Amino acid sequence: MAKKTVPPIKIALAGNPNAGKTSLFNVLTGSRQHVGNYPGVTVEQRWGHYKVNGQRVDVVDLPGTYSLTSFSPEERVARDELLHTQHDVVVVVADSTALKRSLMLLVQVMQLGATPVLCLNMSDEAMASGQRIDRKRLELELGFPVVETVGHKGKGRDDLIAAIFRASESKTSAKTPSLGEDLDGAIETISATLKLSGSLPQTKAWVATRLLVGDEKIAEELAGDVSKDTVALAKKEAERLSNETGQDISLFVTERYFAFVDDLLAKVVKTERRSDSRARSERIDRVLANPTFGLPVFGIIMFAIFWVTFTLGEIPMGWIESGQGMLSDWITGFWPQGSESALRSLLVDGVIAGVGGVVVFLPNIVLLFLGLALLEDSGYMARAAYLMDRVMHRFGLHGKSFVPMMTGFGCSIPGIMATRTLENERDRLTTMLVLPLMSCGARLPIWMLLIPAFFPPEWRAPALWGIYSIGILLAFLLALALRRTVLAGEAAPFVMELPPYRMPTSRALIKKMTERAWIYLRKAGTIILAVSIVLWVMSTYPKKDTYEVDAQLAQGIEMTDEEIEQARGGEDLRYSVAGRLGIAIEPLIKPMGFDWKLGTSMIGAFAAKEVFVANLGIVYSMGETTEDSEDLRNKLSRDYSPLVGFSLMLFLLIAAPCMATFAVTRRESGSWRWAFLQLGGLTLVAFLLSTTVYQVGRLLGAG
Amino acid sequence: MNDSKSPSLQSLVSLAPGERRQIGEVRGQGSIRQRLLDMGLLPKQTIRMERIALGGAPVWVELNGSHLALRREEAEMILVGEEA
Repeated sequence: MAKKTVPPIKIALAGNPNAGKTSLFNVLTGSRQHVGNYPGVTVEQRWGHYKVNGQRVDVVDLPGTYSLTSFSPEERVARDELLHTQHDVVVVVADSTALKRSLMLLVQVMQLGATPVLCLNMSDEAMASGQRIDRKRLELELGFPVVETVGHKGKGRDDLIAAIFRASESKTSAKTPSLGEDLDGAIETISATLKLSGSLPQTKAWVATRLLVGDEKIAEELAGDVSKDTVALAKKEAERLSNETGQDISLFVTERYFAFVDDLLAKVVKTERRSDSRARSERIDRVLANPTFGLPVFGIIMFAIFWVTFTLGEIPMGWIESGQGMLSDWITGFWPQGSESALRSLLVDGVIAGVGGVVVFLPNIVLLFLGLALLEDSGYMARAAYLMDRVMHRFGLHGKSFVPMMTGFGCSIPGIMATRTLENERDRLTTMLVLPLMSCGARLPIWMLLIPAFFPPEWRAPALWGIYSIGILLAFLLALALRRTVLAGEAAPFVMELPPYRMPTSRALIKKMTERAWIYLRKAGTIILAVSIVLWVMSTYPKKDTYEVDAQLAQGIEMTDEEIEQARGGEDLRYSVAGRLGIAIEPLIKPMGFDWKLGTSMIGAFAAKEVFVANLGIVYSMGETTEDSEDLRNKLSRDYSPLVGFSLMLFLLIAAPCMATFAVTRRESGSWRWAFLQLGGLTLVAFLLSTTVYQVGRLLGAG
Repeated sequence: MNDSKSPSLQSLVSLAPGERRQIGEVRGQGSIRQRLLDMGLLPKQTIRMERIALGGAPVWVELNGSHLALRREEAEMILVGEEA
């Protein structure tokens, strides 16, 4: 059957943050979508497609923006996409309850000469507040389709799809909006000197306006098309206009954009009765956003989410663990008992132990993201950010950094993934980079092993509290340091919308949950699988031919089979690449008070922090080691002073986040540079701190 | 132009919750100012102080029916005039 292939229709969704763009995107594309990052920036990219009557429509969801200037990375991405990609249709998603601001963006899209469709989203809320829009009239005024939708409820999908199809058939660019005689004149004068090539000619009005307000980035970027004379002309026109009006040029242009919107809305919007649609939100905010009660209530809400995450998560975690146990046994069953097999060891000790150790946290991830999605979709997250911003901002962070950082106490990976709620790139990177300092759940077994080994009973609880506090303190200090150095620059403006409370829909919640779960699982199946294998090889090979323990046995020393097995394991590890590496790095870690045994154990901790405990057990040939292992503790407190113990805890808290964190930082930041900065920076800080503590402590006579 | 501050203008941060005023001027420059303008914080618009967080900031204001939170730095750029 030879089918004629019709090229897909390409559309883009543009709109303000919180206008419901992403829920409309989900309604359109269903599950046929991808999430990624724009190359080199932390801006999230979503694309997908849908089919109507055999016609494929490719959709790209642009980052939410208020304007198409080039100040923030989000705006730049949205702008570039609209400027340089030929979209058949640009759907401008407007928040019907904030039409004035939403349509400001539409004016700019019209200037770009796109083929727009205006989508009045959340029309139900606008209706409820007594706002009536004459949609037909608006369509007539604008000259392109206008539809009403309720994105999160999936209402208006068919209308939207039909409007997109109509617009793509018509192939008509929006007429250039009239912004007043004087400004239109200036734009035309500048446009006349522009010789834009490729897909750019229709964007003349927009480019001219940008040049008029002195957007240097546009001039640079289009250097081939924009001559120096044009830039000079734009400057002259700008001066003339601001002299005539007594306003600076950016205010002048922005006011004209809004004036265009005001004129339009005056013709098509009627407010029947002024009912306060926010009355309900206002009542809730009297408690939740209260200057005094707001913070404790937030504390309780966060606690509840974590409690659910960890207690409820334990049940499916148990299933996964026993499933893994069964799988291990089943695989082991293929080999005769007591036999040696590299493949079996690779599968059981490498792959299942490594990947399984990560997969086991999946229920936690799912539950945590359900909680976070609830906070976000209900509108509460903005309140939490409002409450926390004052403290967070002092340290160069953002009010919204708080929740991802709290999440980091559970596991850094979902924490780093949760930084997606931060719109500003620098805020997001800062939060992401310091997040591993929040002592994660995988480090808890380490504290459980080390603290009782080195601290008297009455000091154990304060020691645990102390190690968490040191992490938090360091995170704040390093955030501040980052903002003064690599992430320095003008602070992003904090102008945050506080949307009314909305009931989250189960559809949206499930979508968010599965999306995050899938990202997490995919990582376990790829990078973590690979590194697990590498680490297994490193700690297994080369193998010893003869064991010292055999010589001892020959001399008649009595040992149980288990003890022999363990002793051999210990010798193997020492002989392996990981063991030799530990011995090799001993001079490096000596200033902190560590020997090769601790060094070797730490190499494994890069795979997963809790592996440190298991590795230490192997090094000491202690048999099945758990965090409660009394024997191992005794050996530790015999071999190392409390000072070394403390230095070790500091190092394990701060140094090198685990490989999964490294991988997720790479992914979420969009570049290896940040992942390596995090890895190297934290390790350096850890080294300096532990060395200082150990050396000063020794001088003072401790240890 | 930014120096044309008339004596009757005062900073947004000086408003008490519940006060409604007309914006007189938006100061500052570059991207921060542009962001404020883009969000509709323009002269002659009516703005209402809703609530103030512990420690005096961020402030929570209402403008054209939507609610916005502003940090102290941003709120100080907005000068308001007489009661509206």
